[in-house]
Amino acid sequence: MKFPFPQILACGLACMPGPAALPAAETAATLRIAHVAAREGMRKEMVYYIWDGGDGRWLPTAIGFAEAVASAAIPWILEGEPKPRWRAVGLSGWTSDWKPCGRTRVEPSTAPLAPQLPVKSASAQALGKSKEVKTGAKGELSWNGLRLAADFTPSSLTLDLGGVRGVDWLILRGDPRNQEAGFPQHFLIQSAVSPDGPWYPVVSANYAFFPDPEANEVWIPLRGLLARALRVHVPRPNALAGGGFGWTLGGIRLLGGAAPAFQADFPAPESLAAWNNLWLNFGIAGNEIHQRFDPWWETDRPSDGGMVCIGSCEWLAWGAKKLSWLGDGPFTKQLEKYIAGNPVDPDGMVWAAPNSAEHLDHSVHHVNNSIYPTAVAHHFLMRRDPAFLETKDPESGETILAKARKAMDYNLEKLGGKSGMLTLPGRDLDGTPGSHGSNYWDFWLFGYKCAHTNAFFHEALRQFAELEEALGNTGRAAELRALRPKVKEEFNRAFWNEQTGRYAGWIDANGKAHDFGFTFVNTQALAFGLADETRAARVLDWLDGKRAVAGDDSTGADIYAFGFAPRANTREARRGNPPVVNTWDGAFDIEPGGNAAYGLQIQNGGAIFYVSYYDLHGRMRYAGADDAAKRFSAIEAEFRKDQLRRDPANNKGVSDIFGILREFPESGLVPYFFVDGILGIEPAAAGLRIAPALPEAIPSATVTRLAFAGKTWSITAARDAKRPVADGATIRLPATGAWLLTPDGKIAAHE
Amino acid sequence: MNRFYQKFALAAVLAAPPLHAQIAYRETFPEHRNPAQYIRIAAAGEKWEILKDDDGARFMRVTMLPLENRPRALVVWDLAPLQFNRLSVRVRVNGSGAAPVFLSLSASDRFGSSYTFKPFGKADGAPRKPLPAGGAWATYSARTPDDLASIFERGKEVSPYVHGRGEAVTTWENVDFKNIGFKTLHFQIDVLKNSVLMGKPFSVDFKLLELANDRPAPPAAPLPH
Repeated sequence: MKFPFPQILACGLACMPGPAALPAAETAATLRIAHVAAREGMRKEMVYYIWDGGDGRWLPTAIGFAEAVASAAIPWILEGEPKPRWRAVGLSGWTSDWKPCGRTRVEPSTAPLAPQLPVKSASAQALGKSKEVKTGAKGELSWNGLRLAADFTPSSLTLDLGGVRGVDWLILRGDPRNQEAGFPQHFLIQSAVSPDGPWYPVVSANYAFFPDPEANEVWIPLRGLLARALRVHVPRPNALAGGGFGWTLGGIRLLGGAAPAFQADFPAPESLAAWNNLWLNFGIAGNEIHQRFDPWWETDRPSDGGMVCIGSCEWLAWGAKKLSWLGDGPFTKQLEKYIAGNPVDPDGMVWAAPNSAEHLDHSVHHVNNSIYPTAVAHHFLMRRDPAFLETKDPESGETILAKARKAMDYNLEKLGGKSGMLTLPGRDLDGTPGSHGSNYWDFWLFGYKCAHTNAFFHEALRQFAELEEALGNTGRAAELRALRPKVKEEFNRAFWNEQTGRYAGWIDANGKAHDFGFTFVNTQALAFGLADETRAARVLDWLDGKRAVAGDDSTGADIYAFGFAPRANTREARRGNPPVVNTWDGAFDIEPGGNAAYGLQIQNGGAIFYVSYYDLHGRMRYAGADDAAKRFSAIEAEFRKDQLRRDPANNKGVSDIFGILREFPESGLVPYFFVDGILGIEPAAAGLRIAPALPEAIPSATVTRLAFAGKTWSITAARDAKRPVADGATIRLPATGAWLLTPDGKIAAHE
Repeated sequence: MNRFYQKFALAAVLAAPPLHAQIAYRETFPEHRNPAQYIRIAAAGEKWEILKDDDGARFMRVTMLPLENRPRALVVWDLAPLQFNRLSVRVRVNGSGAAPVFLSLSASDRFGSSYTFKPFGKADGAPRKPLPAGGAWATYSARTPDDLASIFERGKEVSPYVHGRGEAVTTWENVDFKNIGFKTLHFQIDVLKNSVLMGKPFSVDFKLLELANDRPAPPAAPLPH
């Protein structure tokens, strides 16, 4: 059977001849394999899988738990019935037999296989020496591999692409003419934006005890990774039968070249790579290790990295921002499943997760009553799919729309939102010592009148009003919008601390304001437009170290000491009298030398990356695009060091200083700032609002493959554009003003 | 085709592994890995750093400051869950004078079981010995199950020894030593209660951690659970 373009084969692997015969035009089908780990699941060490379609290709996965279900999507290029098979390789070196894939299916594909990328030069490195290796048109290598005198001598084969390119596949081929050295049994892939490094690991492509692929090609997915150079790094050469050590490859090819998601005329091409690879790592978590082979679940040290989202309500609005613009696909389906399944009580209280009303069975987070409708509104307005709103909760049978409306009503009626200020009920949430805390920042006893919760409420009113208007409920939309100024006024009345020149975190039930220099509260307040110009300037002056607040423990440049984000708070938690923190039954010790002492805990002097998303938005709103660009440049500088793969431990062996990796999928909001910050793309009732704010150094910026209302768009904002021009799904518009792309594809100026 | 043979002459830097063992993990603190991603220290461990030895090999130096309320340092290696039955590591103490410094090891798997190994220098029925003084490298090696002192499965001891007495009370027949996904290694460095090192900083170096399995490797067939 032949799968005419465009098609995709889902589940197993196809079979077929050799790679040399891969005509790009015939590679439009994709084979998807879902594999239940079967009895290999009894292995307690990690494994990786190798898929063999019988078409001359092997596709290895990243490592993961043996009992988890692994899957693959493989460009399928050959005719005939797919007869995929798989084998598992354990980290200690055992290899399973080949076994047939249980479930395989073919799906339509929308894109042909990427073309081969030209390679400017190749070279081999070992022991500090480098030597050129000639490559042929089909990637064949003119060498006999590397010979080394000792085991565990690192060596590499490096490809210089001549410029930053998007790479989808790295294809390795053994050398049948040099079977003595053999295909490397231990290798990993690294990338760089300069041929001289620094080299970053592609953490999903790290293989130990790789079986000899013989005549097969090894296709390693890189999923659009932007790189100037790639290298196959071999930390341990093969032991040769005749003595000594070595390895070889017969050929190496790269497929790719697609336009990256984010494009701009950056002064340095490294910036292009930084934005896109930040998104690859923390947005879609493409080349990460997912120990359950599922990017919606966290992965433990030392393999922790980016993940897509978390299914608990606290993350759903952030998940909608990250995923709704990606169009149809597994991410959207999974997000919608979580939104549909998140319980909402009959009175409208939103649960924290499908199995718990309380976050971690500890306390109710009423901020979820703002997060849920925000997520629903954003997702619908991006996709315009009425069926989404009508999706029923599998337990209650209520539709998503009904639940979102109930959630908003709960804010207004039960939490006092109509007064302009949500007030959290109950002893657990009263914000005093002994209470439980009420939001994401659950180390602190946010409660009663909570700035975090009320800021989200202000934002939820905006987004839900857009949804109601889109559905024709203009009266309700107006009602919600009319409340926003009141919320802003009450927010400022309650939380602004004139003495410190910033917003406090909460006002407890005794009327006491708690201000520990919460950067996450203040950046969010600015991002949501809750400050006036004067107050915003004071907040930014404090954050930028231009003014010190009396009593603060972190001032000046120390506030951004970590580079990628400000410290969570600038005043130590132990300054509270008594401290207003939740020690989780003594698990946290905030005194000097303790495991949660200042600077050693993410919520007490440490930093969480997502805060930078709001920081960038606040700066753009009040200080301009160049100020935001300056902050992003600092983030980029940190990213270039190690791609922010940072999870250091504190003095008690607890890796809770930074919130970047593992259970922090919200890290992906930071590169999303390219979409809703620089390009100013935000869904509204009438369509997609586009209000670009380009930094001075960037004459134009483009987002590609942005899905809106069932169509995929490429949108460019350019300083030299005089008026918006649409060419099919490609839009070019001026970098100033605000524009509206309607669901039926028309573009016009927008107020 | 213009071909050439590429060869790099090399001095042997490390001894080859025993022929009867297959190394699954060798820690050389390579530049392509960030140790902060997989090393943690705690208690009397003040800081760690990666340095180069005279032979160019990289090693980790842990500076510790034992105090009465925290006499031990803990050095934790986080592993992607991995099967091994042999372990060796080279250890060196610096700046301790003649005061004894002891090393012990426990490990845990990803299901919450912990495995305590016999400490450095411990022979059956004899007291443990300290690490050599004077800045000399020593090798600590252990294997499962021979060098295990105790095993706890979810807090319950299942070992044949009552910890501290060395007395066999049961068997480990239910523990499948060919199928343990070791997730963390916990090296513990401690000094005597009345040690002159209390309150004085000194350092302990770790080099060339190797985790290996006997040959042949565990069978490819699924395990009978």
